[in-house]
Amino acid sequence: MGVLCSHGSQVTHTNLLLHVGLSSPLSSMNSEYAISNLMVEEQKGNHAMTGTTQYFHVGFILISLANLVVIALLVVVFILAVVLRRPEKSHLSTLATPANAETSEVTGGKIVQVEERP
Amino acid sequence: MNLTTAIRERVRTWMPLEDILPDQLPAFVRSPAYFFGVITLSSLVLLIISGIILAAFGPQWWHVSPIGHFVNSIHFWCVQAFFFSLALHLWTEFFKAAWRHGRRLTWVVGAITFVAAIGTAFTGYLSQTNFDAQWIAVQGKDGMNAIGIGAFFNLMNFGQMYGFHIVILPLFVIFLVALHMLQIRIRGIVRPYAPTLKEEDERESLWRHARHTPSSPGIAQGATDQRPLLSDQGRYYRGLSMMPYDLIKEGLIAMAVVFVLSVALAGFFSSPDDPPLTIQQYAQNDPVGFVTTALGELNGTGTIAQYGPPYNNGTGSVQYLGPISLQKLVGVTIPIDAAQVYVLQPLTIAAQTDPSLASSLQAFTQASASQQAAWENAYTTALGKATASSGRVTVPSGNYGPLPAMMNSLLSLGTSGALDGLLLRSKGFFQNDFTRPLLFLSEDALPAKAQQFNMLGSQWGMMADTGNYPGQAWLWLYTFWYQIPPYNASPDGDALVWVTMAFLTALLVFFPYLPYLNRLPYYLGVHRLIWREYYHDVRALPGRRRGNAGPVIEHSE
Repeated sequence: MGVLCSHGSQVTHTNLLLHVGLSSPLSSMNSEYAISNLMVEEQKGNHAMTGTTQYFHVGFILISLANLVVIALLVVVFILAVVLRRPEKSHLSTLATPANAETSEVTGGKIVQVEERP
Repeated sequence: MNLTTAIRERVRTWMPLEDILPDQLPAFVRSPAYFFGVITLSSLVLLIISGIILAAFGPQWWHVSPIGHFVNSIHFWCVQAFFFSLALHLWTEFFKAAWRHGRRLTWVVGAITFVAAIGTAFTGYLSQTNFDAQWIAVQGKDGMNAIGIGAFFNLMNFGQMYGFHIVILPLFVIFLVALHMLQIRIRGIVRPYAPTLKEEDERESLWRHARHTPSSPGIAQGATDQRPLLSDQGRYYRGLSMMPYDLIKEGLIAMAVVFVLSVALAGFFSSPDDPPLTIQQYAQNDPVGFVTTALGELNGTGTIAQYGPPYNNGTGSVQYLGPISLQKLVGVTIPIDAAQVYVLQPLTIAAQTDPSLASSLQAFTQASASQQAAWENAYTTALGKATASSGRVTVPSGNYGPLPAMMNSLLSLGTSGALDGLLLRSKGFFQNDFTRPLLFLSEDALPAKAQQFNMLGSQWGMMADTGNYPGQAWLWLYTFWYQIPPYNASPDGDALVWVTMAFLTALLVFFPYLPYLNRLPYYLGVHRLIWREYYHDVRALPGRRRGNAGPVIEHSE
């Protein structure tokens, strides 16, 4: 409960919600309990995130670890997005079959006959 | 002409329902690189919902209610998710050169949306009513003032920033996003680059000049004009395999994923909320610093006292672009007489119930300017050896006139919290403009606290946040310029950074219109990875090798 004490007036409200949730025989199913648990976790998270700030400092570059993680994640997700594929679509040819004349490829007003993917 | 009929027919031609709500897409859309648009949109929807809840209970609710704080945390992480996916959407669309085949305006609207979203987020950070908001306001004001915007868009006016954040800018962003989506649905998803630039140029010339209306009203097919219609996706996708697709389902799944993610992040990490700094805290914690700052405002040596437009006619912080100062051109729109506002007016009010202070004040105001200056100079020097105890500042003996009594009275106003209120007073009852107290704190107290968080301008402060939270990482380029010459050494640094960013923003927005440069994605070649199955299939065509355009069966449409 110590983590709650730093938030002054919030303590009463959070404890009240927690109490209401725990007193119910269906506490695990109680949405209010779930919300209060999340908020308790939120207070803990708040303390974890407000601790000593970590920085990455090279030359004139000074960036918080959190911002660095976000930017690194951006690059990683971008690479994955380019490389990975939706597996359920892998069997599809990207080009129409030649039997379907209506779906021939338009190239500068001309039609290119295409074949099914081998 | 029947206007209703004309609009109806144009809407019918431009926006067939099958294109607005498609149930199939080309099969080359199989890369996760196509996910980011819908994730950005989902984040925006959740941002709006959480923002409406926060706005409904008022800007202070989340500081005093755990539920409010939780909703704010969801809002905070949705912002991060929004910009994360928006940046990825921008990158992937760039490498796909998504402006091709008549889609240049789609790119322009998307890029403007990005800029508008940054403004929306920025005003959101200013509306937090915590230390972060205070610091961003006083740090950002110089940039705004340097190019004259600060005269009308006052970052320290909470009421104005809150209005921009919850109404004006969101409406603008929503309008742009709706327009952007409409443009995408009307035109369809851009095809992969043709295998050769020659083929790509042919395709570009055909589709860039698509017609807005059919040659014969209401008849899209069989017209004599061979150019395609603006919304002619059946023709645009010819030659491509189509696959089933559920637009609504994909949007709902994306929204569920972003919601679960933001709730989880809110639950585990909460959101930053370092309490705001007050003048009372400043006076209590650093009495000598407080008196020194106040004396600077009184004798005209303080930064604010010498600042210049939009606060006064000083020259201390006036910036130029060559021979022109936009700051001076706009002029003084938020007048602040530092000596009156920060010292003499508060003391005059306090003197109404303090005869001793009234006589000190009278002695000071009735003295000649040279006498006042002599007292001020002597007291300024003496403050270097000052000590503080029991809420009073003591200096070595000297001829300071009534200044010690006046400044200790002002210190009492500060330590009691009265000065916080006195600086906020307005002609009316309500106040939501914190310009005066924030400017006072910006002299010394706020920078000292910001330095503890590594949030100074020289420390990439604009993109940082308190604690270990990610900040406005999307401002990295804006913040970057402040770290390198000539920006970090120039007295016109803010104005130069703004001009640089204006140029780069224009470059981003109008990139599709720049000849040669707009082919950069083709030469970078990332599209070959994104559409590698398409190029594999094209290469597998009989008689077609890499870089070989033929053979083709030609017939006109």
